[in-house]
Amino acid sequence: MAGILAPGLTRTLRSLSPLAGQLLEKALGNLRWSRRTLYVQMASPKEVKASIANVEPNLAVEMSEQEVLEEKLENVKAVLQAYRFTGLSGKLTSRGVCVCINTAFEGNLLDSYFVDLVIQKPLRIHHHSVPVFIPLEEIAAKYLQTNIQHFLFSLCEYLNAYSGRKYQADRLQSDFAALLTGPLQRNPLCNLLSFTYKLDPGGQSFPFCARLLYKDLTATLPTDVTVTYQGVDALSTSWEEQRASHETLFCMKPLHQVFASFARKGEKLDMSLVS
Amino acid sequence: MDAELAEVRALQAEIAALRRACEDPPAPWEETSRVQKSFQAIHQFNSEGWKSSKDLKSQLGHLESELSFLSTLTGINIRNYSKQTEDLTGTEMTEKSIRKVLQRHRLSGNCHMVTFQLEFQILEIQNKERLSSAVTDLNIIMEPTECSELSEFVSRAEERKDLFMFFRSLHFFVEWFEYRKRTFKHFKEKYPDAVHLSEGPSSPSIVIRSASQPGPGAGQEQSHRNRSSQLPNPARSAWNRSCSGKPDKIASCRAERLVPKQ
Repeated sequence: MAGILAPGLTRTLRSLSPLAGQLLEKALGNLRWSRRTLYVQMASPKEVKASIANVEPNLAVEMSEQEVLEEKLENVKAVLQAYRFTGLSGKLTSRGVCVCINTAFEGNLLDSYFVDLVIQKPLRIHHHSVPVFIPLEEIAAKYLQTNIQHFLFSLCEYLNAYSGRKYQADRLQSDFAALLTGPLQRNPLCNLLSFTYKLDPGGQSFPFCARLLYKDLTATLPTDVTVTYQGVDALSTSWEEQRASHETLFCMKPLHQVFASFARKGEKLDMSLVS
Repeated sequence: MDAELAEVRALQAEIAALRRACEDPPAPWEETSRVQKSFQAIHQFNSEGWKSSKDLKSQLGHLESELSFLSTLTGINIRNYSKQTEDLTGTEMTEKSIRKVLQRHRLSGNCHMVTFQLEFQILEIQNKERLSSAVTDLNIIMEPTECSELSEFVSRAEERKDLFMFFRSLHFFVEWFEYRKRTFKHFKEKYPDAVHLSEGPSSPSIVIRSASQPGPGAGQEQSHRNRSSQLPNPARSAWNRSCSGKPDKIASCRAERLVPKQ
């Protein structure tokens, strides 16, 4: 069924109906297959074609078409698995696509979130696992209809930053509880933290009070840091120096790493007392 | 019968148009609309074939569509991936219900003309409270190796063991590299005497020297790196316009304005 059929031929075909019907179905199937393949090719760079065809040639044994297909299938499945390491992966669904956003902080792999998109005009989010305090609607309003890539990259930024801040706060609570003199106060978005701490837990000094505000929701370091010390000798230079240096440290390094350096200094002090 | 024949004709026309479209490679700034288009198209065909058989060919077709979508979305084309797992749980750990597994991953692929090969290790530790997963080693090999701008963020990613940052930065770097290349190429073609590119269109900087109006000292050159803040005012706005990447905007720049007045 290569050419366009003339009306006379159509009449003849109608008379041969059942067989013609089958042939027509087969032709339609093939045409639809060609169209899909072309869309896939057009939508992706030439390199994807090569990747799809990438099969290790088995020189020793001649492979049947079935085996070639199976090997291709295995390769494609493996590569699809690997996409989660780019931070964005997904699966096609009957409605559209379900995108999975993976988050990480300094090499630590953290929570994943998904966004299930429905392909309709307009494009819409069917459901998702994004926390309520992430401005998903705002980001969707800006980008979803015009640029899916930008929408997802932007959402990635917010989620990765939130994950990172949460990770730092969790590590502070779990690993450095000994240095905290009170509970860590935090909001769900983990962009406002308030805590009190001492460098020498057993000592006589007053604790420091720290308040960290992360105004930029796409960042994992605070924008505003206030450290206060309300001991009686608060005005002495050594306390003032410490207080000021702590403020700088919190701005420059992740929270749990600042406390790790406090803990190390504490160990050094102990050693000097012993000797 | 008639409806099906009509569909045959429609499909044939569509296929002919698609074949023509496949000939021309898209420019980087067209990629975003390409993501939208491919998204719609791939979904359309998958919903068609959704109820169809589970045979190998249609399975492969479905997964290939998925791969194509992810490749377009992330800008990254992964070609090969393999993984090995090693259980490091000792007998002591099993008693305390701690499990330690080391995964070794290897993947390779490309992002337009840049190819990469990654080898990294992930250590998974499962104890009673939680499962922690961390990248413990990351090695990245890039090609082309001469591009110093590329190696900057590659070493940062390796240091921080930040896989996601590497892929995101690679995608943006390549996109903007292409923009810059096309911009420089356009200027070179339009003003061949005034524009000098030390390393061809892939140069990191562009030198603009007027042949007819030399600078205050004889033979003095005005070298402009790809940073608009270093250009004199009229040139800066022209440069900003050209960096938007739209060919019609680039065409409106004039070389005479790029040379500062004496």
